[in-house]
Amino acid sequence: MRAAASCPHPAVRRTPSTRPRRKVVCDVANRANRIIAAAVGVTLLAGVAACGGSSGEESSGADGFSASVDGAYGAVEVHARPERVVALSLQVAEILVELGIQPVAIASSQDEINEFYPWLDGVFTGDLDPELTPNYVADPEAIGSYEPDLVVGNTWTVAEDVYAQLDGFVPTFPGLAEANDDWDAVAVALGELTGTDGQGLVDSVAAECAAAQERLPDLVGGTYQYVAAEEGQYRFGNGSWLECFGLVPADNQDNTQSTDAAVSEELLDQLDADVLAVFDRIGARADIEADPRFEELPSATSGAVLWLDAPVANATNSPGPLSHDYFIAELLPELESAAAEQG
Amino acid sequence: MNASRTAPPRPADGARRRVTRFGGLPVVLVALAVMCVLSIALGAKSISPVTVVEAVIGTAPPGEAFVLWELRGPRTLLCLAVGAALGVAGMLVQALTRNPLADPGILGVNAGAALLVAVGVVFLGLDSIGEYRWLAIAGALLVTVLVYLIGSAGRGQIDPVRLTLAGVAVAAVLQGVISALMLSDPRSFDTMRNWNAGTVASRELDILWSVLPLLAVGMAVAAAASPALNAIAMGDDVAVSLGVPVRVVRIAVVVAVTLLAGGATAATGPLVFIGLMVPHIARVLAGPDQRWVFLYSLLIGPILVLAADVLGRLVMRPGEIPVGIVTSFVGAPVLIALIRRRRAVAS
Repeated sequence: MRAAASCPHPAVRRTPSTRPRRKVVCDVANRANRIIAAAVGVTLLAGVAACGGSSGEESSGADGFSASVDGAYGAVEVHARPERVVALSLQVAEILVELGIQPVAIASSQDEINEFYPWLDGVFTGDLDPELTPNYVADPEAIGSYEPDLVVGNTWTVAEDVYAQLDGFVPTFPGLAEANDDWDAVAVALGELTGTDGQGLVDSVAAECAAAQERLPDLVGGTYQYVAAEEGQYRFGNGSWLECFGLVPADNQDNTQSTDAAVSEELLDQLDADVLAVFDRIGARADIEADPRFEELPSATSGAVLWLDAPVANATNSPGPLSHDYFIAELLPELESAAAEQG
Repeated sequence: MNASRTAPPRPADGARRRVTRFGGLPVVLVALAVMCVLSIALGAKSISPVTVVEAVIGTAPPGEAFVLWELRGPRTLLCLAVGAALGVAGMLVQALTRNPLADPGILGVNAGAALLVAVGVVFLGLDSIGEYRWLAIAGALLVTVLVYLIGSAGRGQIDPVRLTLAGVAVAAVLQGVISALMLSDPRSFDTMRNWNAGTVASRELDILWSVLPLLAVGMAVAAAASPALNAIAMGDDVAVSLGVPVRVVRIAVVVAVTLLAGGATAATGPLVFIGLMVPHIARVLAGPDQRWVFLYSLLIGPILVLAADVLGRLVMRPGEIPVGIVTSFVGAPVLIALIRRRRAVAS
């Protein structure tokens, strides 16, 4: 299971979800504000380090905990078991919660959770603070105000320059790579950094997928395609989350999220996988279904066309353990019906 | 355009002009017909000419017939309407401002349409062209009126220079507002990104029908105003001495540009360079007579939009490139080539 984590750049990641567009916004964020905020934040963080540095070393000595992982910009080291973690994305926040660590602050808002991440409603006890990532870029000043001992984000909220400012004062995990991270690799890394069982968490989610597959005996091994409906074409998104159901990518399925990975609406008949997932943000479903070629698609005949709304698309795009629970619960009934049809 | 600033034509030039002017017409008409056929026949999906003929007589397989008539047919009609509208709007605005670098966007049409689309996307949660087309039309109309009022404030008449400056200034301000709205949330950014690309794909005919009345009225006003533009091109004093109601003509031109460019932009999003480029090509064939420039712009606009759309369908197969992007990256080099030809500029 290698569902990808959130992406750092639209050129790398063109996904059906609303989530990656945050990165686009990041790119055009006001750099001057960032620099000013960073300068103030560094000062604040320096204060945090000055106040807590010695105690941190003492606790390191006390509990003997120390860990290091290779992050996107270099080694991330902690010398005491983190207790005040700031999460800069909902994905890492839900991974942390499932690892048994409640972040003291999460870069989100209740409105955002209600609209796009309903499965996370009530999950967090820490502060929901969108000002941690204004314009979707980490704000050192806001982060410093929580006096964290570990900051967890990804490369599209923690660009390398921001990382350089943060990491001198508080261990900062910016994800594993500047491209897409696999959520399970992130979970294992966070497990190491926090002294928790990341691999166990990954195994538990894998077990949930295996359980789902047992209910789809006639579908396992079938092919999938995952596209976003756009005007005039269908753009391939990263559909590796469908592998949780035992499916394999169709020959033309492009999980790289390349900007030119798309199929014209004229070529609808090329969307001929056993299971077709469509993120229909523009309300194109009626038009697609009106195409006489649609009803001839294998997925349409068996009822295996999955129309994803924004929450399900987000759950599949930036998955974590709880996201898996959500999209499995949302989609398994439809897939079971389709499997029965195919069987 | 700018006929008054060029040397008086020699008799031989006049004869050659007449040959070009009349001889060019059938060439342009044939080119337009060919582009219409290509727009139906070519696309991401390969459909044989035999199947195209079968579709015409009603015996093609349903899938192919759907692609030809339900996907390519509407976008071809939309290309025709939008191309003609933008071509004529460009011709009018260049004549109005006596500026060969002017395009309909200089009156704030694109910025106005984009502003209200952004408002609809951000505050009303609209996602598709079918939902925000009326806002686009309203935005184009309102902002053009605003630019007109600023450009003519206190003067009692339209000063082309003030009008141009007002358009540029208003567009700049609105662009800031639009950017702020776009950045308000990811969904808005994505929707506006799609809008700004400019496309004729996935447009059902009701989109065309909703803007067609605007385009028809705008075209009628443009046709009526074109002859008077010849006199205005020689200067306001000369035009007045010839009995041309300069102020009325300029208002009519602003109204026509607003309706034509506003309607076109509402249907497709901004298609840059068409309004700028078409009049230059038209003047190569038609000479300075605005009646002929109008006619040629009316015909050449659709040719360019159709060509750009067909190209966009073919170069990235199996995907497509929106026509607005094609007009940008093809239009700029073509325009540079055109303006390097003295004849295109001098006339």
